[in-house]
Amino acid sequence: MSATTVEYESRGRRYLRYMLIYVILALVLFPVFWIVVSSLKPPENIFTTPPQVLPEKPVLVHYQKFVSGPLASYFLNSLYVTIGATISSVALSVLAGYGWAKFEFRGSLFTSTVVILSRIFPIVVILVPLFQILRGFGLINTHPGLIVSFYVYTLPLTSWMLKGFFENIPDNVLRAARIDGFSELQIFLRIVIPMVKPGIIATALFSVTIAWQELLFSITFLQDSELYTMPVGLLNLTNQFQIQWGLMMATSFIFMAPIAVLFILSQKYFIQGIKGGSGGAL
Amino acid sequence: MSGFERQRLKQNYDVLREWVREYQVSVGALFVLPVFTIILLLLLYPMFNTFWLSVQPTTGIGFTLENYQTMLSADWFGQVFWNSALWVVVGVSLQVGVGFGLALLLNTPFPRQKLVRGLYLVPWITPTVVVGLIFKWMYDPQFGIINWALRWSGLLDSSIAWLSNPDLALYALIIAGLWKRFPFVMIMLLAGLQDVDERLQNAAAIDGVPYFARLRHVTLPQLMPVLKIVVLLSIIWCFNQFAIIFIATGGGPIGATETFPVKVYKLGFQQLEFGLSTALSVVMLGIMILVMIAYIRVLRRRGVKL
Repeated sequence: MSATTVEYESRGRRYLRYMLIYVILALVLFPVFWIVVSSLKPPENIFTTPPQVLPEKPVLVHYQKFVSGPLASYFLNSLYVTIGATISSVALSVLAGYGWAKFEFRGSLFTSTVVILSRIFPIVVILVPLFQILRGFGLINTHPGLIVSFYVYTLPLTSWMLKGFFENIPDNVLRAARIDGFSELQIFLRIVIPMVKPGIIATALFSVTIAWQELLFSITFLQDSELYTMPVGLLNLTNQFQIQWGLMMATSFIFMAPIAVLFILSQKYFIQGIKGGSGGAL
Repeated sequence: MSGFERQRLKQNYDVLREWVREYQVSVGALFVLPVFTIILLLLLYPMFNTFWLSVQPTTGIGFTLENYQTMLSADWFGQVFWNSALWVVVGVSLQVGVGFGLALLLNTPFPRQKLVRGLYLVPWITPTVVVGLIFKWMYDPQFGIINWALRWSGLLDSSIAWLSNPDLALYALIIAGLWKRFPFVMIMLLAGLQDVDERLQNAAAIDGVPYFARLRHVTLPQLMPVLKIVVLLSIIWCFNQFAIIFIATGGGPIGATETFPVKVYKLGFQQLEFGLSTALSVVMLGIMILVMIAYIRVLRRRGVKL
């Protein structure tokens, strides 16, 4: 609290406060620690009482099982779907964000309101009709179909986020370019896009995070097991008669690792996104 | 590209320009068109389709309220409603309470501040699927770490089957949701606290106003705009949450953790009751519209043009 600047805090109280912060942190991080520990124990050591807090001899059998089984191909499927959905939705929403932020036209307010409301729309509500629409286009049980369905989550978020970034570009920059004889397309590609690069990165990160962990559409629209993505694979691991907790924890760790790495590398962009309220989607 | 093709392309471009000029279509509208069309096709059209499907008889086309009658008289309807209410109200209260407390705590000076604040965000970037799995594992009645810790510390005599006890399962999952979501509340409020006027704080402190009174009368009023949006976004997130519940319990035991989204999915794609599924969807949408109205009002007050 900023008030501590004028308030006296005894040394004892200060250390108590530090301790509180670190103890809670340990508690908060424990589940992730437990994923790692459980994934490194040999199967016979997972079911011991009391549980081994640190694996006596860490083994990689579960990770080997992941690599040799179908889960590895699910990982590649996830990668494909996530990258596809991110690139296409960022490309589409760059256009829309620019249109809303820098042009006045009839319907601007209406369309942007529809899009921001669809951000908080209960997606499950359209599950049945969306299934029928995708089936009508022959897109059920295909990766492109899944990518298209992800637009429901990503487009409202990314286009609204980018709108904010475009609004920060001064109008005078555009005016100067118009006077210099640039066409609208040239202005867009050569002046505006380079200026919103941080916005594009932030938006892409959110889109990746959303597409990577999507479960509802993935279990509904994918039927052949060779098309499954990681969330579907993880769900199926829970439906086995004898749950392989070691394999499941190893898979969980592999699944969350890419997002964690992205987060560490680009925390700045994530935080920027959260403060705009976009973190509400995760 | 051959010269002929290039000429064709140029012609098409000219036609488009002519059309834009003639109908006074703004360039901006063309930029927005692709996204809006997709939203229209993938979201708005299916939404009306949901309404339509919910009033269709089982065979043929027509109008019937049969689905709604069946739904309202079904024993699961009340249960789904109360489960959702509990999941949202208790869940959001805990998330906001814990997030607010930690925001205040982490806003004080302490060593390694930046790193620690970053580490507190780990649950928030953990995918919901993994949240469901890890809590399922930690709650395991035989080998779960939570039961072991409670027995070891003497709080429990024997293990509890958290997720297969209908009276406990939903509360157990609320804790999982709390773990996932408190960092979002925390980081939003932490950002809000940076904007709280320090001079007011200091003046109140010098006047001898006790800590909680200052919190209530100086900090809280200034945090209110952020707090409102946080509460609203948390309600929306909880109301729509599917993955954590579905992965951890699949809606069981005996429907004790079935919330609206889980039930809509199960009705539609496990029991193939499209009529009932869409009728329940309409109820869900009705509840959500109230939240949407509140959302618009809060955004307007924050200066977003809507």
